[in-house]
Amino acid sequence: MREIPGRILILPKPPRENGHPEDCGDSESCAELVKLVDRIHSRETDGLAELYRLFSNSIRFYLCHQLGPQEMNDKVHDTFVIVVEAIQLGELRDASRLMGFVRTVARRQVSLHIDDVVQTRRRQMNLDATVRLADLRRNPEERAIFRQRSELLVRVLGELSNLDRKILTRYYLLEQSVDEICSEMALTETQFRLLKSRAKARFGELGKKKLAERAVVAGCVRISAGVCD
Amino acid sequence: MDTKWRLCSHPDEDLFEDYCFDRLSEQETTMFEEHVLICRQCQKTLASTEDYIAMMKGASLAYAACVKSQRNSAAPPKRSSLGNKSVLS
Repeated sequence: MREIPGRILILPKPPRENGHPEDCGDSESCAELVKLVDRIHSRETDGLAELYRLFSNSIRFYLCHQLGPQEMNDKVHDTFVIVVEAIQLGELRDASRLMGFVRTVARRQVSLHIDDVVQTRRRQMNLDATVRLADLRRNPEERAIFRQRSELLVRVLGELSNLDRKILTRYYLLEQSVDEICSEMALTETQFRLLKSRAKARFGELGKKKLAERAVVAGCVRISAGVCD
Repeated sequence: MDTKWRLCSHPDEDLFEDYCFDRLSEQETTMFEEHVLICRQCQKTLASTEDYIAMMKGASLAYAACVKSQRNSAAPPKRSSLGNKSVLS
């Protein structure tokens, strides 16, 4: 994999929400995490509650992002228990690495789950060759909304310039790397980034315009339906 | 990479997209995930980036299919409502 140094944009620190150390990290937050690990290590129950408050949402997010929403509560609980036990047994040697440790445990949970799914699927495939995977990430209503938005976006894509559409299609649909696109379209990386950013902006503007038009049309239809009644 | 990045700043838009396309190195992925694990703002950004990519992929695919079907059905070839443009032309 290529290294992409200098691609990190340093932004101002975000405002803290209720003073939670997870909202922005600095040496002060690091010190808070170290204190928290000490409290859990000494088996203080409010330390456990604090850890749960800090990490349950983010663990849930991470697992959900990797695996989808099924059986999430159990997995969050399992991850939390493993982290707490490891801290209490003194297995976390560098307390400032708490976030890295939580991520490692969550990753392990993800790979265990994937192994389980693969094994289960193999067994099911032996029993029934017609087993199909369901898209558990979206319910029917979400799928309908997604389809409607896609139809709108198709129209927006049709109205973009050739260059804008080519950039977006190569990058998002064909998943070509920046190097490939630059080489095939004779662009420098800076030119590509600029073109992509502008194409996205124009795509967004056109999309908003279409949405507004659709809202106006829907409003007119409702008004005329009201008049007819 | 500066380890302070993990703690003090947010990744830029391109990094979110590279993560979604699995284009980050192991080290970059680790730093990115550790940051996202503790940053609610970046959790939201990641979710919306994934939605954006999925939608753009779906729209590009549908657009390509639309252009193709209009070309196939047109005999003799006519200008389509989408301007008779190919996906990558």
